[in-house]
Amino acid sequence: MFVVLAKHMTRPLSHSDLLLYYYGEADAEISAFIQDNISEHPEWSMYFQEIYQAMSDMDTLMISPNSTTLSIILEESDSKLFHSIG
Amino acid sequence: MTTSLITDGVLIKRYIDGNNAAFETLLKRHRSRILSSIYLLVGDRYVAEDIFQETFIKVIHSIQKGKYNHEDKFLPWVLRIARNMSIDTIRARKRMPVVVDTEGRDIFDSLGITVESQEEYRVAKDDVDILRQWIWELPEDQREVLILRQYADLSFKEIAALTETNINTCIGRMHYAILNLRKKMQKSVAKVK
Repeated sequence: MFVVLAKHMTRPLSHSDLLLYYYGEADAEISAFIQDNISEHPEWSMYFQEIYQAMSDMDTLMISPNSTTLSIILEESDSKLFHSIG
Repeated sequence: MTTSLITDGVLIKRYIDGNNAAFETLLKRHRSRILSSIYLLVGDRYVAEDIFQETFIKVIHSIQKGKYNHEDKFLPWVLRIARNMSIDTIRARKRMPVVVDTEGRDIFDSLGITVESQEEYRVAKDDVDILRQWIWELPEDQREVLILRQYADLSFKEIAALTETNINTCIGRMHYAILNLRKKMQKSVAKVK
């Protein structure tokens, strides 16, 4: 497991903290700590680079539903029965 | 106010009030994330499209019956339905007997439909196929977290709730999914060199 014992922290900073930070889910204190100290920890930058490289092409796999599927769903959503009840 | 600034919860309320365009906006907003997630879970484009359609029909009926009470948690709610349907589909396909033709080949192969693990049938044709193949080769629990975080854009907390695990387990699975993907990428680069 990737663990860094960070200065001024009461517990070790782990890959979990870095992953949460990368996805904007770390709490404010840890986010500020990472931002303030990243220049002293090249291993953090390397880990972010690993995540970025693993994920950078993922958007190419995005697909969209075909028009028939969308039409069927929209037709169902436009149920007159529902709106007459509402 | 542009539609992107209107929350999912507001759009659902408008839909309940009779504004069908609000539902169309919701569908357009989330369609790619939801379909891509289903596709990567079940591994078959046509099955994914069917599950996507069934999911939204169920969503519509639930909203129409006044059963939606998740405020702005629309996407996690829809994905919970889609995930359950995907799991049911995968289980049903695994239970299906293999029907062979006169030459002993799986009859579904000739129809372009597979009933076994998808990765065994995949032939990587280009970069997109290779990347999809790598994701399919990840352990199931890692693949699921990766898809839900990266494609569905759920938070780790939301994924933990959806998969009935704890957040640390989800983060750990994501960490190993990233490491495994990177290993595959590095092996691929080394082969090219």
